Amino acid sequence: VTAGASELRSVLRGLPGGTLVLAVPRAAQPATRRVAGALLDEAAAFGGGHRAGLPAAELLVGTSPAAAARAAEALADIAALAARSFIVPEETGALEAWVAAQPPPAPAEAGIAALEARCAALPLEAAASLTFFAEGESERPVAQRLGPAPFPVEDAELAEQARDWLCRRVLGALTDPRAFAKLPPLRPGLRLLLDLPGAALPGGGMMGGGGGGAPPIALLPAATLGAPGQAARAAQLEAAGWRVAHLAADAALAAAWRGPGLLAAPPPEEASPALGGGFIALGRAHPAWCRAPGILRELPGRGPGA
Amino acid sequence: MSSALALSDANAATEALALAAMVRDSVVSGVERRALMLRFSRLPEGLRDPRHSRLLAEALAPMHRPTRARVFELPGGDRVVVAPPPGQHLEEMRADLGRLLPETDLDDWAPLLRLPAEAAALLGAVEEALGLGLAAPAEEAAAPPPPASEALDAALRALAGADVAAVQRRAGVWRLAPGDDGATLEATDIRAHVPDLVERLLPGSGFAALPGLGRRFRRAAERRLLADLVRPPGIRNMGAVALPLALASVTEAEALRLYGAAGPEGRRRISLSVPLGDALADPAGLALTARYTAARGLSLGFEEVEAAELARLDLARLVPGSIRLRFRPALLSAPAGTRDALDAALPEDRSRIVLTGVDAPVAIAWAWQRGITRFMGRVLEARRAAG
Repeated sequence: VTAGASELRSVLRGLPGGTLVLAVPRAAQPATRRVAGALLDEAAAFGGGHRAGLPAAELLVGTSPAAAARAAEALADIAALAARSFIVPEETGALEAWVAAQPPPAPAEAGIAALEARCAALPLEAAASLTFFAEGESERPVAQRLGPAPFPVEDAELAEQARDWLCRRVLGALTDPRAFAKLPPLRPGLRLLLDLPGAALPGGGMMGGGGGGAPPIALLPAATLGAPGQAARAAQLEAAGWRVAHLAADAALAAAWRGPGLLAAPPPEEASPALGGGFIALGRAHPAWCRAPGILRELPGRGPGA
Repeated sequence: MSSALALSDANAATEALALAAMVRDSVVSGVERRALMLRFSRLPEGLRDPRHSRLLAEALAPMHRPTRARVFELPGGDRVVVAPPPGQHLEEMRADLGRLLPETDLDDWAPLLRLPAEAAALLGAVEEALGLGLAAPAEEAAAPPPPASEALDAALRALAGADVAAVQRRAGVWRLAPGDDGATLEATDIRAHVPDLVERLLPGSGFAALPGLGRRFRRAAERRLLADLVRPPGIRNMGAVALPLALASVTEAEALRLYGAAGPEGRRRISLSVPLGDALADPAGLALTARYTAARGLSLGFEEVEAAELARLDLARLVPGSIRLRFRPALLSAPAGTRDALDAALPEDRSRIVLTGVDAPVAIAWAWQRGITRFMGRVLEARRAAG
């Protein structure tokens, strides 16, 4: 028995023939789910019917075809969700199959203390990720990024905090010989990119990456750009021999970037003057401009994060 | 007191701006000038009586003689006389003042400054006279420690049922253009004052080290505020409303109910603004929120952006609505390069900018020079209080 099958049966029980059911997949982000819910409420107010929640989907039952079509369009445009219409009981089998095919939802976060405990309990091997970067046309790694492994949390605020907690664990392991052995093995001779938590570390100073060659790069979350004290923090890092790059999760931010300073982000389709001179292209899909000199490009399929 | 005093002088902002511009010109072009600052506000009370005023007026009479000197009147009765070198008559005037008030320290209240060498001192003194509290902000106080996760969970539970009416703050968004008789109220800004709630629920703690959880706390507070606003009278009959909210609050259930209750007409009167930090932390959330608010006819902008951020990111590209720019006194004395970068970064449509933190008229002057005519801050609130 798949999740939601019995709930679906009780929703469909006793519906008159020819009832329209609009089925909407459950969005990953809570904000998207709330917006989708509001759009369905609006459709129900406009075309009748009622909402019914399943564990992995949301249904609008018994609304008018016009309202369902309008809602489906709004869901696609605003929430990027693909809704489907079914007529029950005629298409009950298809609806059941659709519901069964929806991926089960992740368990809800029990609270901040629980999340902190989860981050602390994660084995170091799973908490850290090492990825490699090439420059120009070559596929040979010239740089390596040590940072927190992707940690699936639905809520953006909690995800931000989880990244910080994992970041601190990885940094702590760098200076602890026994823990260091559990980190993915850094390759000698490659330039280092190191993820730092959003808030400054207690005690402050970071030591320089030493020696000649390209300076190591500290990756700070873009959200810290305007936060108090962060300009001083960046200056301190630079004085200690680091370069500072801001880490953005979205190509739209990279497209809006004007500099000065280095940005690490999924690349936008088009290069811009602010990115052409220096940029760290994250992710797997890289437009041709990311093969220009001075741009570090993440290599696919390496490290535990891949 | 300074802002109220400054307001009584309708020209203070314009004069201060003209003086600041003149000082900057001198710095850029290297043209020498002499400036005599007359900071009467620094004289002891006893020396500001009518008898002394008359004597001072006599000593200062040469100031008004047709010379190549220019006099700038500053708020609070202070003046600055600027002349090309050698500025002989400035020195004579200063000597007269010294003879008249031998018990005072001329260097303190009537310094003679050389431009461009001492430009910073003059600008600093002007800003201080305008009540901008020019003194460089002292070393940031050590941030309070973050709350423990368990305490935070408990605080969030308490917040879910808390009455946040006591921490609700309202302020005006004003339009004031050069030549206007007075400022026009454009919208009422309503927010939950989060620091008070943190103090009440997590005394002694702060979120500086936990930015993501700080956003979560703020959102929990704002859900209560939004629930209050849905209930009558709420924002009905209120005219235009500006709601600064955490990004995730904009799509909270309570917010969605508020937009629904407002109806299409009411939604057009709601302008939302979110912190840039929230948007940078959750760009996908920003994109969703921008699409949703656009579809519902709500305006979405950024709240409290610092000038440096505005120069680094093309913010007008990320949101369609207003961008609130935080005024800092340092903007007045920023080096030319920084200033040009900021000016180039301002959205072409200046009506999209709201200058916040307008606590002294000089901020208005700074804004007018850039075509900005929408404001928030103490100067304008004082104007409202004064009727």
